[in-house]
Amino acid sequence: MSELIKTIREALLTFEPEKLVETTKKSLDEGCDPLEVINALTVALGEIGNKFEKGEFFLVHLVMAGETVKKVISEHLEPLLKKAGAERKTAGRVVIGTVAGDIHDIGKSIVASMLFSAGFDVVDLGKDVPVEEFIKAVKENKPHIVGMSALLSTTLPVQREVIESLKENNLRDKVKVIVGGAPVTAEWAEEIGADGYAEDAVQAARVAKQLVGGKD
Amino acid sequence: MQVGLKGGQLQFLSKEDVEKIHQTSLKILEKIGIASASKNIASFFAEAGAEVDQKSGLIKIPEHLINEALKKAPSKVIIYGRDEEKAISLEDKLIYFGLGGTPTPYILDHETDEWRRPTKKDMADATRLGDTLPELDFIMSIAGAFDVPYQLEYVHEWEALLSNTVKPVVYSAPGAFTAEKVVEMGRAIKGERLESEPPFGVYVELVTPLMFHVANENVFSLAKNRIPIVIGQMPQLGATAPMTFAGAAAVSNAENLAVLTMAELINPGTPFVFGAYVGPLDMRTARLNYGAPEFAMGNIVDAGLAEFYKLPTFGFGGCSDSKLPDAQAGAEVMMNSLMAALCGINLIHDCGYLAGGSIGSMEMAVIANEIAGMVKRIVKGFTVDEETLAFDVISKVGPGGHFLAHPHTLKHLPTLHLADLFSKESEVKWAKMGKKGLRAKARERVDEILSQPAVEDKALNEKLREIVKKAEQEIIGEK
Repeated sequence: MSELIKTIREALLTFEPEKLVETTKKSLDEGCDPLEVINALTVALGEIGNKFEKGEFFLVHLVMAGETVKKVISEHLEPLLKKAGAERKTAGRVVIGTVAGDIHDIGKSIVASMLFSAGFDVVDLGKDVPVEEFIKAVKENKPHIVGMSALLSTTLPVQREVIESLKENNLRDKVKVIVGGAPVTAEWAEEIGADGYAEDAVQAARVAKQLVGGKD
Repeated sequence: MQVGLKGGQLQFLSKEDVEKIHQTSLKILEKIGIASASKNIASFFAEAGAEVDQKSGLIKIPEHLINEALKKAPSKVIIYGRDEEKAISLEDKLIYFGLGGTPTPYILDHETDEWRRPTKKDMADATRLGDTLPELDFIMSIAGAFDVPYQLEYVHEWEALLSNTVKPVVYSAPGAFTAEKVVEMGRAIKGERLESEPPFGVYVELVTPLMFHVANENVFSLAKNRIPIVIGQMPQLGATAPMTFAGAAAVSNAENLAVLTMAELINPGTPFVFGAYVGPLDMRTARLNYGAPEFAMGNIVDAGLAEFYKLPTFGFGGCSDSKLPDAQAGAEVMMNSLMAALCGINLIHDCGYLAGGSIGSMEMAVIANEIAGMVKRIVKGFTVDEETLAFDVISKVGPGGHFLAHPHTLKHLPTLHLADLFSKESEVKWAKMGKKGLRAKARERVDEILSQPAVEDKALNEKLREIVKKAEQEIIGEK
């Protein structure tokens, strides 16, 4: 294990956001390449993900670490990459949101966090997202995957509407679609023509990785 | 009218604890506020004198509005059902058990043993089952109608409920349109007595933490028609609320007070059933655990606060995280049912929920019915007086004698609980009878009940069907 990874890992495992920011800044001051720092963060986050799957860490560790790392990357590292004209390597890009008419946020946010921890670049559109917003976000961000959440059985059909609209805009074959939410079943996912369904947030990241299999 | 047994023998929260939670909730509503995705609700609060940011929809409710509303809400609410004899009076820690809750995405098919998407027919069957099970006093659902146009799911579900039970019903009617249709159904049942003898209550839930949804616009027509509003807020520990019970209770309570204020402002005296619950999110699976001890403890929060406000309560029991009606399910159902009863919750709902509310099970409903019977026996307790101390009887029988032949024994025999499906016979007899486990017996009971012809009120069913048909035309148009 490189010294940098070790330091970053230790800082992340304190679960104190300030510690990670401090360590990141220090590493950069000492001349570390921002891409290497991102790599170190990804490795450390992946380790937390594995420990979560083994039951050694909990959802709270995963989400907290994920949000902290996301903030550190976007505030302290990406600006440097931009300056240098470099780009970070991800497992793929995901556009995710809770569909129109539904303001239940937490399930989708947990999945977003899991995807980020699994190495994806996640564009979170939030809740109550109209069909057009999904389409616009797909055009702008060119994601590999579109994820839709719905908690109410009455908003579930909006997932179908988004898929239909992707077809109408000739975007359907450019993205994979995953759906989730308490009333979503594997049969529903198949019926509306989604590519992937996971029964819970933990499985969502795995399904997403399978879907982009050939892409990274 | 049924007068329930009095629960509430356990007191967990001190008056000071409750007062502190109450004060924190007031502070949440006044300083942090509650967000509204509904313009109508935000405008309504603005007109009533709350501080509303029309742009963001943030509503800050001053304490005086809440205090006035609390004074107007009745401390006793009666839900009548179609048959007045089945009416239940929600007051003073009287307990009642209810079948299921809001729709479940799956039903455990008791014939094939597979779980699948439920249909309107399942909804009707489940309702008939609940109508027959003697310890279940009100009806919600352990299915859902997923084979009807989704825009009308709830309207169809209400039809399935109201045409298949004479017991009081509690169910969701999200949005203004559905609420109006449900009020129409109420009129079809009660006519002009709808307001004085509501046959059902309507379940209302805000999105937690602290958000009104467009679906909550149903409160307008419910309150106007004095339909009991039944709340079931459940912030999740560490996810949609603080990890600590007290903080989560304050959030849950604030959400209740917001709806209560709205309902009592619309129509003072609107029946309001309080439901400030707290639930644990499983930090390993990201699912809500209905069978966890902390889930059963949500009833403590609910009962403690409701007693302080002198309001009837809606709480949880009869539910499990197990995927089968097995030993785990039995243990969890007994734990949360007994907790709810000993806390004195008026409406104890979710009997027959498995997989944390993802799967409804008729067999489990039958087992939960039996557990409810045991719980009711426990809260009944026993009396201590001259007759029950029975000194004269002891004296007459004397040392070494037996009490079996004494009339006192026969007289007090009915205090003893009789098991129905639970095995109490000798192992030899049990073996001779085919060594049947509880689940097999529950399955037979389901079949037995469902094979009975449905008792129908044909005229009413026709009216309910008409309401659904009209709703279909309004929403989907003529076919």
